[in-house]
Amino acid sequence: MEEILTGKEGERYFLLGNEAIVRGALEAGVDIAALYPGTPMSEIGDVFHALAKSVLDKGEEPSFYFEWSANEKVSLDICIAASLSGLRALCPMKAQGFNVAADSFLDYLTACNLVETDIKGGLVLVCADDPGGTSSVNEQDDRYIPILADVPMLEPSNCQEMKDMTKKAFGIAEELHLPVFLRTVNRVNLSRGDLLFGKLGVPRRKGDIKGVPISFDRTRCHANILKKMEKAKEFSEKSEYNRVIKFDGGKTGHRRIGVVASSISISYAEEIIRELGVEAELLALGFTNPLPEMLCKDFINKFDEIIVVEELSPFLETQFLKMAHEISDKTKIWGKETGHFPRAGEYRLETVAEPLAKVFGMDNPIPRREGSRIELVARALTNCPGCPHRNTYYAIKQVVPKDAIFANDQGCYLLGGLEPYKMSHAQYSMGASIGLACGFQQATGKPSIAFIGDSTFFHNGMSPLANAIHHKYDITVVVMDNGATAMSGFQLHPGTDRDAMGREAISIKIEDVVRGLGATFVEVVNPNNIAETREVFKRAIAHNGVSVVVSKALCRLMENREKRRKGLKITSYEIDQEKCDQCNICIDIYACPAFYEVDDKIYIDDVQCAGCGVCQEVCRVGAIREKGAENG
Amino acid sequence: MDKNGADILIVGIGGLGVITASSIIGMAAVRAGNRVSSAEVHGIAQRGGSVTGTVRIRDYSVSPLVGDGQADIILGFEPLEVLRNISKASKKTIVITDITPIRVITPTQFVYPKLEDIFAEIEERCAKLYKIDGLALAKKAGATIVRPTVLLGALSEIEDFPISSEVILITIEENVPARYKEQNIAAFREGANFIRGQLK
Ligand code: SF4
Ligand code: SF4
Repeated sequence: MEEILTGKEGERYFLLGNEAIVRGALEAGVDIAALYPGTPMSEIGDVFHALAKSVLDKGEEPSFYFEWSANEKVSLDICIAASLSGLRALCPMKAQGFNVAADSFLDYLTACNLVETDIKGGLVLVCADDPGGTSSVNEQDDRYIPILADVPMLEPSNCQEMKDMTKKAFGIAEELHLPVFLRTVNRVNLSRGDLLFGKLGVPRRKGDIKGVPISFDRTRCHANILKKMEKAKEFSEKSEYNRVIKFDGGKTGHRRIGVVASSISISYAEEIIRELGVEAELLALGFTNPLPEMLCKDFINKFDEIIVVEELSPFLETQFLKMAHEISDKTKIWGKETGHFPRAGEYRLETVAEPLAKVFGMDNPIPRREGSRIELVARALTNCPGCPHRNTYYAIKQVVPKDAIFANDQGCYLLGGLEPYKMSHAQYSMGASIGLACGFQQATGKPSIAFIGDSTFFHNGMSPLANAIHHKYDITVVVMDNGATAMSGFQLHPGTDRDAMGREAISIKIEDVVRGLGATFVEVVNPNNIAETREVFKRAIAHNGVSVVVSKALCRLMENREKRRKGLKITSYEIDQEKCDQCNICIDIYACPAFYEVDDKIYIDDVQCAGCGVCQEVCRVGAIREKGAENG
Repeated sequence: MDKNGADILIVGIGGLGVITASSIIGMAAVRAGNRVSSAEVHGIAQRGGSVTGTVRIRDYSVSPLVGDGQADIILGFEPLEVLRNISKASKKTIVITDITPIRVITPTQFVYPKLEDIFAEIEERCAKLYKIDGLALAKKAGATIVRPTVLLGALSEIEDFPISSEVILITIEENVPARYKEQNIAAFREGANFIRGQLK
């Protein structure tokens, strides 16, 4: 990872898309980066964090300031202030994180856009979409945001462009005095590729703001932004990221067909056209708001038919339909509207191969193949072996009233909503659990329980809790405090005692916050002690008013990592087959994924077992014992 | 696959080292002067879910995903996961898989298929199947955690594999913790010897 900082200009390196963004920012001389982690872009923060640490370890000062902010709105406000002060700021977030930051992003634009020079330092907002929604609650297509906000958008299609466009975006932002929206997709964020490095930039380090650029004349502000966007269009027409790639595969037909693509779809389209061996042209679009109208119209004019390849919404397609209509309506546009491409789900080569082959009238070069004959069940999503969240759920399940309603939240613990615990009637966005529990309690009169994580609590959990306490809601809030933002890779948050720059930080205790807000029942318990946890929950649920239980134990992966680092042994556990009476509680009800069953006998998988030993408390007949062997 | 390129699929479950192995192959390929595109596909949990990595080695830039029937090599860290990805194989594909199953059945009542059935179907759908006891060889090399390196050693011995053993080994040495360096080198040799033994 070191090479992201020390790598030489003109050399080729193999980086993750997210790492390439960091290099791009460093080549632009970024001063400040701030973010709240979230897949698929957390590594951007991980890299800044690690680089800061490595520089500090050498006794030097990092050239940038980086922080893990409490949420996306906070990180964006910090970056906006940096930009208004003339510094270059990078603010990455996942698609759903943008929803939190949208408040500031959409408002500041009109509030701070009166004078031409208001936005002095380049501000680049990286928005990482997640087609397929593997790590997100939806497939939100954020390409409409730049249209809504009237800001320029760049969309990288590979690792090289992740770096180059990030660097370029700062320049564009400063020339236009507008923030640049760098929209990425999971498949580029999380792909690795080779890329050529450029020169490291020189940060400005210290900024300043003079005068008061705020005006209340919204119409004038809006008009000013629109004027800037006219200029952005010129940039887009001239951008090297909007280019026509020619293929001379030899095979020609009598129809003239052009292909248009953006983002990761460029690489799929390129590959399929090459496989088809046709003579064709591909309009690859990387500067996608505003679109280069002249370039696009020239392209449309050249062809009888155009295929538009893009994931999710018909963002390009509708604009191409409009442009084609404005020209003459002679050119047929194939895409989602014609049913050639799906609107839902992440694309793969096969998704693009079939319609492309169809329109070109050729054989599909990558036909879908059958899966296995043996039926395979997906490995179910569940918490890690030894995860403390499982213990919290296991304990509460034993004492909770049958008719209780559960509101869950965003973090590893949301997996408690799945089999076999099924403790989530609703979960969707950060911090929603507490408001949901209040709403359920009010609407149904049934006992309502909210589950929320430590990082999520700091992100967006405090205001709904204040609301709940103030209104004397009779709910139980379980804060599952595992010491980090575990799901996205164990990042720091306001509860940890260090910050990303390696400095000592004030560790805020959730129980103190909760008491400060006025909760009358607050208890802290270690969920790895199931009996004790059960008792605490009994009292909490019986309490009238808001009861808060902080269920506190380190994420098992972090704990074991720490143990390994200290050279401590992690012993796995095994089942004494003599004693085991096959009640299956450990497998069916407790459900640690280290257990498996062969011929009606239950075993513990050596490799999977995290050595927590909690299952010993779960087993009624004492059949589980320590193994004594090292678990690598 | 030839000296200039290969599409490699690396499959397993979270925590077994799939991603680390993919990135080592990728780094080695770039070091050897190739263009490389590589992806990782996994779910939201940190451990235990299916994980797939791709490494596509070319002399030009390509997309990071491997299409159906397009894998030259499938490197399996877990046999069932190889079968799960069998649509990526063709009669030209070489499969190397670790033989140790992860039989996790929770939280669904999923019964792990018979290992011999899994191997039989893989064999039917590919050109050549190598079954390697990575865990045993890793133990022989001194530590169970170097199991991914056993598989990398095996991979390096595949005929026409575009990156040389030396380059892969140097890349491994540079990217593993110093205290496990010896064991990793030994593991690489164990894996390589295993394939050489099979080729005889
Ligand atoms: S990463 Fe940590 S908190 Fe998340 S499921 Fe695994 S053990 Fe639990
Ligand atoms: S000790 Fe028991 S509960 Fe803990 S990880 Fe191992 S099998 Fe699972």
